[in-house]
Formats: sequence, C-alpha cells, structure tokens
Amino acid sequence: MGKRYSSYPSPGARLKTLLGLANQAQSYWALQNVSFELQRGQCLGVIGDNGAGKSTLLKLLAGTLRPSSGALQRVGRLTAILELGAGFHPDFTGRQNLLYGGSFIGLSREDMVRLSDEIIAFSELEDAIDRPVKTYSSGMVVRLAFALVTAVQPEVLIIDEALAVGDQHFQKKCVQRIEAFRQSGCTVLFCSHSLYHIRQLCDTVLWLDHGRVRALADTESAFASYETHVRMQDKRDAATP
Amino acid sequence: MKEVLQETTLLRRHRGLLWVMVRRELSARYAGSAAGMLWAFAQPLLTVAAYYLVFDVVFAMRMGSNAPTQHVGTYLIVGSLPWLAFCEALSRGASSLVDAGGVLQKNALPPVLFVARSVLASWLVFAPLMLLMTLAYLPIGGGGWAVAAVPVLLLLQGLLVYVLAYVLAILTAALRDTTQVLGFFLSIGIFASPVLFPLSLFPEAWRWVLYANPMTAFVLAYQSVLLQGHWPAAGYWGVMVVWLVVLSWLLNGLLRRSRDELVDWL
Repeated sequence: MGKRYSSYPSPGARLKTLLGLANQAQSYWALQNVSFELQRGQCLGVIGDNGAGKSTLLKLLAGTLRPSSGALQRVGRLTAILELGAGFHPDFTGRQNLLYGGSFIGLSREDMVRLSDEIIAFSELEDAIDRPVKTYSSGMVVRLAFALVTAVQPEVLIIDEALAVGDQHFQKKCVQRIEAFRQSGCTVLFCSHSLYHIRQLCDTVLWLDHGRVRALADTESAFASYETHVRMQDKRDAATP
Repeated sequence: MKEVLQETTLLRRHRGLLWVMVRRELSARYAGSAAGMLWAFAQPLLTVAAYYLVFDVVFAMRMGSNAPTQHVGTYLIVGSLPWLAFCEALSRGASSLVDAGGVLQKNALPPVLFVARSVLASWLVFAPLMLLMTLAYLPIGGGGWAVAAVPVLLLLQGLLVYVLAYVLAILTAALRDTTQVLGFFLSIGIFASPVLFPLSLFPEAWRWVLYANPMTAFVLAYQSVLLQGHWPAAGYWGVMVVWLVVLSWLLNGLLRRSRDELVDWL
C-alpha cells in the first residue's frame, strides 16, 4: 500500500488541476510499499521519527484517506482514535455531545441511552456531564471522548498518540481497557512516541522511516534497531557543528 | 453521472446520521441564544414583514402596468424569500467542507454528508416559510390548482442548491477565494434576476442574461403561481432542468478529479 500527496505551487494551480486546465502538481510519496497482515488479538505498534508516515498509515487504515496504490482489507467493526473530542461542540453539554458523537461512530440513540451511564462512569465526569464542554479542561474532554469511542468493543482499534494526553491515572485506565479488548480478540494498531506504552501493549512493531518499512518484527528486536538508529542520529548531530 | 449516483447512494445509506447532523446543525447555529432555533425562522420573516410594511403600508407604492401585481411589497416578497433561501443555503453549503475539515480528517465519514447537512438544514427552515407564504398569497393568486406547483418547485430548488453548493464546496476546498467570489455574485445576483424588478422592465435584448442566474426561472415560476395563479410556463421548467443537468455533469467531473485528494485539501 502507498500514499502519494500532491503539492501545488499555489492554490490557483490546484484549481487549474482540478478543472483540468493544467497539471502543475508535484507529488511525493508519504508512504511506499507498506504491507502487513494482522491476526485477531494481535497488537501492532507503529514507531518512527516525525514525518515518517505513521499518521498517514493510520489514516489509511482508518479510512479517512484513500491509498494511492495497493489496497487494504479489514474485517469487522473499526474504531479509530485519531484525535479525541474533535467533533465536540463547546456550547453543548457533555451529555449532548455524547449523543452526537455516538452517531458519528455508528451508535444509535437507543445504544447511547443504554451505554451512557457506563461511559460517564468510565470518564469519571459524573459531576460535570451536564455542563457545557467549553467549561471542561482539555484532559476532561479527552476522558469523555475516549470513554465514548471505546464504549463498544471493536474488532479493529486504531490509536494515534491519543494516550499522550490525560493524567497518569486515566492513561493507566485506558491501557487496561485496550489490553482487555486485545485479550478478547480485538486487533490493535497503536502509534506512539512513548516506547513505554508500546512495550506494554504491543507484540509486533513496525518501524517506518521516510515512508518505508525499516523493520517489522517482534517488539524487542524492532526497538533495538530503532534505538541504534536514534543513537547514530544523535552522534551525527553532535558531530556537525 | 456515476460519481453523483454514488454520492446519492452514500446519502441514502447514512440517512440516519444525516438526520442527526441536520438537527444538530440547526441547534448549534443558535446555541447560547435565548430564542434558540426560533431565530432561524424569525430573521427571514422579519425581512419580508419589513418589505410589506414599508412598501405596501407606509408608502403604498405601485408597480408599472406590465407587472404581475400592482403592490411593490407583495411583488418583492415572492421573489426575495426564495432568493434568501438560495443565498443562505449556498453560502453555508459552499464552506461546509472546509469548515468540517478537522472532523473529516479524523473520522472516516463521506464528505457529501456535510454539504447535504448544510443545505438540508437551510431548506428545512425556508421550505415551511415558503409554504406559509403560499397560504398567505392564496387570496391574491386565486387559490387554483397551480398552487400544487409550489412543493415541486421547493424540491427542485433544494436539489439545485445541493448540487451547486457541492460544486462550490469542492472549488472552495481547492481555492479558498471561491467563497469571496461567491459573496460578490450573491450580492449582485439579485439585480440579475426578476426579484426586485419585473421582467418587463429589463431591455428585451438583455433578458437572456437573467437566465445565467440559476434562480431566475424559479423566481418567475413562483411569481406566476402566487401572483397570477398560473401553472409555471414549460420554458421555466425547461431552464431549471437544463441548469440541474449542467451542474450535475460539472459536479460529476469535479468529484472524479478530486476524489483521492479532497480531504487532503481541507
């Protein structure tokens, strides 16, 4: 699978390309020849430097982007946590936002009525749930959003850096929930700069470098090669004045 | 028209979500205000009430001999309510994709939902108002069977606005200046239509220019039904269908060309 982005010298050039008047697009591959297969209950960690193509890969898997080459196949319900609380409206209460957010991930009103007590309990926002979301701290928004999207166990779970926010106590709860999903057969794809979290959750690691796969191996051996790469990079940086 | 049909299938498949989004859009527009959604109906109602008061009650102005009615306010309202509906739905629809950029990049949702949501939310406000206007004009138009044309016109206008708004939303995604240009065209567009002046006042050699405004045929059709009690002439229906076909063809081409990159542009 691969993803090519087009860049245009100006917005006008983009319009001309769209209208078929000229094609001034310059394209670059954000991701090339990435291929893997995951089984039920497997957890894949995605690591790499900034701009390596991690988010692009997860967006392709989540279906928000379309691959420029290749194809992907997923089985079962998918939940993607690319950014928590993105669709929340600040003037509506937490409870109102839950109902709306639920419909985005395919939960009906009846589902939400059934699940809302459990979601609110997990987010630990019982006292604040009927207040407008604009009065929440960023950590509270994230707690509510995480509790919502993980209210129903998916077959495939995609998480992009979502655990970097929230306090230690909540991060622990999130990891426990993801682990529980995995135990009962959910396939997890997890992208993070926190090697600690990846080590805790994942059995396989994919190391991306400039859009290409540098390693796809068990967690410890992939980490070993990645850490060597980081050390080399640091050495090079130290050598250049 | 493969792409346009695919979008229609998507809308049908996600109709439950679309309905939730429309309701939420309407309440979000006026969130925090005391009167809430009532404002959506109050704004256009107050505008047409002002026309009636100023032109028909206070100044009692009269139109020329060839006009479909003698009362200026009565004439203005029939054209301006559909025109207001057109402008509102189009400007909201044109910016709908760019506004939803954050959500679309993080959730695997079809972009068409956001265009349809904006247009439908506006339509749900204006369609009842226009039906109300039809009732109020029954004594003027005579209340004949021509009134049955109004719901058909409302549906056609909604469809036309949806297609045009989608075209503009894709163009806006590619080039943000589109909304500025649209604003300019909407403000001069009212002069290139029979909303303010009857068709008979336009020089005959230049009347064809009015049909470059997609609303001209609609405004003429509403006027003939509500002011004269006539079923709209076949020519008006023809112009509407031509506009709809041309815009759908354009939309189809834009969808095909932008399919893989649209979300990247937002």
